[in-house]
Amino acid sequence: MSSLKQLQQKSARKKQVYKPILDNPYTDEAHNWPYVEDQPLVAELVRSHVTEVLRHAPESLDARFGFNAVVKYLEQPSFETVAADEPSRVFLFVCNRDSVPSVLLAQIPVLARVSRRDVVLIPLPRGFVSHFDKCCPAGQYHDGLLLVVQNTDFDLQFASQLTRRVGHVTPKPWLKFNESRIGVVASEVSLNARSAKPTK
Amino acid sequence: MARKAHKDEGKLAQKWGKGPQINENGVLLVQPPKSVPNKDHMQRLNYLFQASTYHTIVDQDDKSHALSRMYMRNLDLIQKKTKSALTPGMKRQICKRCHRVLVPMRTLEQSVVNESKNNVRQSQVLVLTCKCGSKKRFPYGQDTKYKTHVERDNLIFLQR
Repeated sequence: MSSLKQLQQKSARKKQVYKPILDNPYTDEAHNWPYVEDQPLVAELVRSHVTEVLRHAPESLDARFGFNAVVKYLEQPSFETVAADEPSRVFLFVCNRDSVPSVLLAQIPVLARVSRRDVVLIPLPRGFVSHFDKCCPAGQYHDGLLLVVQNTDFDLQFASQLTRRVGHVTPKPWLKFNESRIGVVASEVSLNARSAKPTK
Repeated sequence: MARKAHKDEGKLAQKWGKGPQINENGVLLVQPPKSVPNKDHMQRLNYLFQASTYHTIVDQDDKSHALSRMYMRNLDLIQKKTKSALTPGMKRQICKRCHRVLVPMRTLEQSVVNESKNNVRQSQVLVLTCKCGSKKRFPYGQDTKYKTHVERDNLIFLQR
C-alpha cells in the first residue's frame, strides 16, 4: 500500500532544479540607472517642456533621436575637438521601462559615465514611449532614446528642476569592488532515469 | 528582528506547505536553495571580470590591453573548467576572439545597421565591433520584446 506522498511523487514526471549563474556586476539596474524622485512630475515636465515643444516646433531645441545619433554625439572624442563655446551638459531621456530591447540599452549607462560630456541620464516611466512616437521626425526611429543639449534655447529652470530630482548613481562603479551577484535560474530535469541518460 | 525572521519562515512554510508540490505540468516544485556549491569559483570569476574592466577603462595609454585581456582569458578558462554559468548580459560584454571587455569609447564601437532596401524596422541589427575587428550582431528588429532566459525566468539572487 502506497502513501499519498509516494503517489504524488509517482505522478511527477519532472523535478525543478536551480542552476547557479553569475550576473554582470555593472548591469545591476538598481545601481546603474539613477533613481528619479517624483516620477510623475518629472514625466509631466518632460512632456510639456520637451516632447510637446519638439512636436510643434522641431527646430526650437537641439535634440537627437535614435541610437546612432545619441551614441555618436556622446562619443565625440575629446574636449579639443569640441568647440570651447559648445555646451557640454546634455539630457538623455531613456524609455527603459518600455519595450525597448534591453541589448540596446545595456551600454547606455556606461557610455553616459565614460563620455566627456556632462550627461544627465533620466529614465522615464512605463508608457512614455508613445510621446516619443509623436514628436519623432518621420522616417526616423527613436529606439526609446532622446538627447537634448542644454543650450541658450533650453529652459534653465526646467534643467535645474530635472537635475535636482534625478538621483546620482555611483559615478565610476569600476573603481569600487562589487560583490559577486550570484543568482539561481529555475530549470527542470526528468525524473525518469532512462530518459535523462543520453542514448548512444 | 528575530520575530520578523520567524514570521518570514512561517510565510515560506505556508507557501510551500509540508508535502511535495506538483504543478499542472507534472513538475515537482522545490524550494530555492539558500546557498550554491562552489561559490568561490563564481567569486573568482567576478573578481577577474572587475579587474579586467578596471584596467580597460583606467589604462587609456595601453592600446593592446594586455593585462586586461589576460585576466579575461583566465576568466574564460576557469569558467569552462569549472562549468560555471554566466548571464548573457555578461557574455555580451566579452569579445570571443581577443578576450577584451567591450566598453564604449575604449574598446567598442556600436551602431544600429539596417541593410534592407525599404529600411524596415524588422531588419534593424545592433552591431558591436571590438577593437580587434570582430563583430557581434543582435538582430533586435525581428523581435523587439525578446528577453533572455535570465530576464524571462526572473533570476533569484541569493542573499549575500
